[in-house]
Amino acid sequence: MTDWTVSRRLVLAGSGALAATPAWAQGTVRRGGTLQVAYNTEQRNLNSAMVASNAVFLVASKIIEPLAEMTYDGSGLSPRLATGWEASADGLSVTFQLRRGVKWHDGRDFTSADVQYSALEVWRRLSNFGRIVFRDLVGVDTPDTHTAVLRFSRPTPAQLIWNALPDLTAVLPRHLYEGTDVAQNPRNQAPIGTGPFRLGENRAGQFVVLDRNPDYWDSPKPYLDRIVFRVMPDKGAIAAAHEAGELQLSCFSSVPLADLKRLAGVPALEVVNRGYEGSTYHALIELNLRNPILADVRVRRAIHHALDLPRVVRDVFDGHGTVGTGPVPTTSRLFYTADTPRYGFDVARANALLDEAGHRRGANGMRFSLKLVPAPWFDYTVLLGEYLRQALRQVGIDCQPQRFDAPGHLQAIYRDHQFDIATGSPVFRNDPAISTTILYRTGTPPGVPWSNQYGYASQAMDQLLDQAAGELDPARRVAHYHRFQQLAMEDLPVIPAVEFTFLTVASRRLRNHSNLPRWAMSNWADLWLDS
Amino acid sequence: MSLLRVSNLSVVFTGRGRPPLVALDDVSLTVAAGETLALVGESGSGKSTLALAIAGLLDTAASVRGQIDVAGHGIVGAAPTALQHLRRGGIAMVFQDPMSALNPVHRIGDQIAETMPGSRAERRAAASRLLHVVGLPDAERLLEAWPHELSGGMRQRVALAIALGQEPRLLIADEPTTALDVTIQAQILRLLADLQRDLGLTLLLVTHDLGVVAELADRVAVLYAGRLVEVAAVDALFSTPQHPYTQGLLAARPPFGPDAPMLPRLTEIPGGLPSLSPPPPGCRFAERCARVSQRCREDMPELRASSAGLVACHHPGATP
Amino acid sequence: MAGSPGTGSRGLGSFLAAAWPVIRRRLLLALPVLLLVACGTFGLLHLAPGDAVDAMVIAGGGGDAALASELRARYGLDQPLLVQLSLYLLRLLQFDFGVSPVHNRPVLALITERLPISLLLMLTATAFAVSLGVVLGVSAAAAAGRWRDRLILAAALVIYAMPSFWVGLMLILVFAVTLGWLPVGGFETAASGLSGMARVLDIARHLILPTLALALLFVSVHLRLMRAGMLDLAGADFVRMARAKGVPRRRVLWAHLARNAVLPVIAMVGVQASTLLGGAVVIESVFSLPGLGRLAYDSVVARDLATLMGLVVVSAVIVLTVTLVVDLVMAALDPRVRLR
Ligand SMILES: Nc1ncnc2c1ncn2[C@@H]1O[C@H](COP(=O)(O)OP(=O)(O)O)[C@@H](O)[C@H]1O
Ligand SMILES: [Mg+2]
Repeated sequence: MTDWTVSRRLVLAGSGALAATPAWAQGTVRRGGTLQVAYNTEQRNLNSAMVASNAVFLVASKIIEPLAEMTYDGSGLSPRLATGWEASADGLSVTFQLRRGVKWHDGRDFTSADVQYSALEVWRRLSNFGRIVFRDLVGVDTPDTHTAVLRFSRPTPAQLIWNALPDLTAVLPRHLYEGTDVAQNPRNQAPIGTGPFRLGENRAGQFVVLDRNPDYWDSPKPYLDRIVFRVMPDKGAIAAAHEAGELQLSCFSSVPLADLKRLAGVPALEVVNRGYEGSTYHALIELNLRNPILADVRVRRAIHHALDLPRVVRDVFDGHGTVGTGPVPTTSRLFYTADTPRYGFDVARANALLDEAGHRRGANGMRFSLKLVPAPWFDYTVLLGEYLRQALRQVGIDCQPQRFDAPGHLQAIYRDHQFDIATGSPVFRNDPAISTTILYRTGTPPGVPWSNQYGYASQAMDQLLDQAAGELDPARRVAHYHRFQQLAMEDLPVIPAVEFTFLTVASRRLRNHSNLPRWAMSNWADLWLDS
Repeated sequence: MSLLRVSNLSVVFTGRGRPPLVALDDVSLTVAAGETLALVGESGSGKSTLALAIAGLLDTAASVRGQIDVAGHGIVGAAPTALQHLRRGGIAMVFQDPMSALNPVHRIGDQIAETMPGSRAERRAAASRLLHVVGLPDAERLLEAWPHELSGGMRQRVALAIALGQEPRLLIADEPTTALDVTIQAQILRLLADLQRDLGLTLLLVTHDLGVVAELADRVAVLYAGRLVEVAAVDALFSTPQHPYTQGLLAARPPFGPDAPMLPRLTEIPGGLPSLSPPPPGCRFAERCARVSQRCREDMPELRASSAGLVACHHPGATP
Repeated sequence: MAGSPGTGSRGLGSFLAAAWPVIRRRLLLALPVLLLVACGTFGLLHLAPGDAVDAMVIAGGGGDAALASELRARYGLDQPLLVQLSLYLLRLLQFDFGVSPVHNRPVLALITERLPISLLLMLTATAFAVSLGVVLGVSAAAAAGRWRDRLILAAALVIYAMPSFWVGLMLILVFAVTLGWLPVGGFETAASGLSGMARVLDIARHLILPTLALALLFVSVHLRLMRAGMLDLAGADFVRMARAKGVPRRRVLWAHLARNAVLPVIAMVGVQASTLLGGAVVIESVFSLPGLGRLAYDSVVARDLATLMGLVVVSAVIVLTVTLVVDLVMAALDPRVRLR
């Protein structure tokens, strides 16, 4: 299954994540206490079966559980609501053994009927990525109260399903959702789940309180009595609250980059970059191949050669990143291959390629002009845009920047194609078929964000991706995706410039944190606060 | 016995970024109890400055030298508490512009009663009485009125009421009628005269209207560019003015009486006041004077006794 | 000569009774203004690229095309603009602000739950800004040209030049992080279980820093206005008159000078009502206060037109109300002002 390399920069200087290990390893868990967590982007809809996003998971994953969770160890998956799973050889069904003795927070029993309902009505219909993975799901059989059999109309790779379990299989209580409009159900704001914590007071704009679920199936967990998510939209304020000791935890890099160094120096705090490998991002340079200049692969390669990516990692990402080598990040040992064409920093080569493509320098030293649209998602994507402008200037490409806010950016790039060169930040979701190949395949209508709206059309690529999508054999499937990475880098419709993940700031009293590849989105049942 | 004695008074205004301005230079003056002294001079000659200096109201930008004595109390350099003493039963003042002399956001009654002693009811009764004294009927309603609801003449009467409320011995009126209509002017002047007589006030009347002087004053002091140029009894000054400037002022006076033409005769003295920062070395009137001599330009004339009073001129005498 | 003197009797009740027709006329006049504002906002917001569904897709991390068009149909975003606008105005006339697609709740409920927090912040900040501005302005004017005056003016200039979010962060750094006297943010201690007086005090503690940060935005303006007014009036005859009649120095300064110089400051409060709302956006975000400002910011990001329109209308009502209240206060403080 999935295999994990722990990122090279496991822990920032002086971090005690590993040093802290002995305390809990010796079984001296301290129970009780309240954990104060920063909640940077408040979500109204906490239905994580519908919306699989970081901010929703941060809170909802403690209340609503998936069938399995991602781990660092060999198998890659640890059981949650499912205790076992296997696929049929023809790829037309997968069977889940479900955990017994699990109760919903309202006291009802959890059964296979809940999984059946969630899969058919929510995962395959309403979930943004579930619609892709469970596209061919036609039915769910429930031979007994704790077995669920998912049936597909076409062979579906089990590997894809297993990889999707942590993100896309949150189970909802059938008795509260059936017969209602799921999207409008008031339980989306006040979820009922099977998780280690129950929703307590939820004061819009202020805080969400989660209280310990005393009937949790994994007794004696959870250890904490209470988790308070404090709504704090300003990152600077989160940094200050950390320093004042008002918060013990913030996830997803929710303090300003500029404050990180200072926080790392506070003795009571540690800054950790572990625990996000399950959602590795790429700082992506997107090119519009509708522009005849960029349709020439030599020009695209020249642009790659013009970029000093190690320097970008150092200066733009403050070292918290890795130079990208292809559409699959190094954190995915299962799918990653290092055997891809590379375009190292080489200004002379870039100039030669541009000359060869027939773009001579004009009187002002410029060859041609491009409209540059940096994405507003992260500081990184904005700064990368600024770097692009400077770097491309060196090889005679003039960039005219134009900035939008988030919805405006989506429309400009993915609906109206009003750009020549843009920055973006797609996330690798544990399997290329979930949200990565869509960046390369043709056939996605305009308006779908983070899809191939670049005008890239390659028959070879389309065939390869279709082949991989229907491939049931895990090893051959992986081989197809190796070939995919190579072809992606040969054709270079987009440039996966830098890989990056998030940072966590935690009190040194906090134990057992950052111990899973998608830790911030996991249930925190084993988390505890030392005195 | 003189109630007011001013000796060798000089006032210099010093301000940031501006040269010092000598507004009053070595002014000496006495006013006897019960007397009415008119202080005349063209605009900018220092009348208001002298009035304010006597009332102890000059602001901190003014540096004052010399002495001022009111009923035996020194004003120059006096502590605020000492001056405070003179505000009751001592000096009171009425200003030129009745529009701005009343606080627009306080009621009339409150302004009159503000510094009076006694209970609320007593002060109110006193204020009401004062309004009658200054010729304003319907006092009960007026006490509740706001300044902007009153005409100019009424406001000047209110200002007078406030001044009288202090039961002063010396009343300084700085051009009290200049801003008023002609008919109102006459009423206010009559009121002043009546009050002065009835209450035995000592009146320092600042004006540039010689008609007013003729009607009200016992004596006249003429100020020119910060210096006294002539001081005399009113009859003497009008009949035999000694200083060329006084003579010029009298000639420039619009004629009185029923035969007076609609427009005043404009035989004004040509020229204007000299700069006061610093003032010229000799006689300050020299540049405008028909009798000017070399001596006038170099040597400043001092006030000396003349046939009619005091005059500061090297060539005093009747008009040639 | 205006009106008959001395008709005014003293008392708030009769003052308000006299002002009522004015208030009513103002409110009626405000209606067309509000409609115009609503139309203008609608147009402006539609000029911005992207809609609520785009924002939802972003929040969800992506999705396919069919899902987006399903959502658009659900919220009526696929209808022609004019239809959307007239439907909105029609509902608005019935005081129906619609339902927010982002929050999935009635806009009116969203706004009313946050309104008290913003109003409280604006009220405390205004009161503080005016009082501090007046006291400092008087103090500076009383020492005009001397070191105390210069110190106050220099401080005002520095504060004026500082962006309010920065002021907020600095206050947090000093009073919450370094000294640990006050909380970093929030409206009250989360899930504290406090009630009654203890809760009021808890909220007050949380409001000190944001009030200060928002007020500082205006203090320098108020104090300079106050100081200028004081110096302007210092030479006025009524001030001399007050001194001449023996009013003590302090009383001259406050009851005569300051009492008049404060009028332009009060008028400025009315002028700055919209700036105050704008400042609240920033401050509410820095101090994690769930007020209208933050709701507005979030709604722009989420392209939540329904909520934004509701907010614009409510903001216009707030500004109009503040203006009206300021006019009433002015009329009460300055007898020369006549309500129209
Ligand atoms: N506060 C002041 N600061 C500076 N100069 C002043 C001040 N008050 C008056 N002056 C100047 O002093 C001179 C005399 O003014 P003033 O006494 O008002 O004359 P008058 O009352 O005779 O018109 C004028 O030149 C005037 O500009
Ligand atoms: Mg004058």
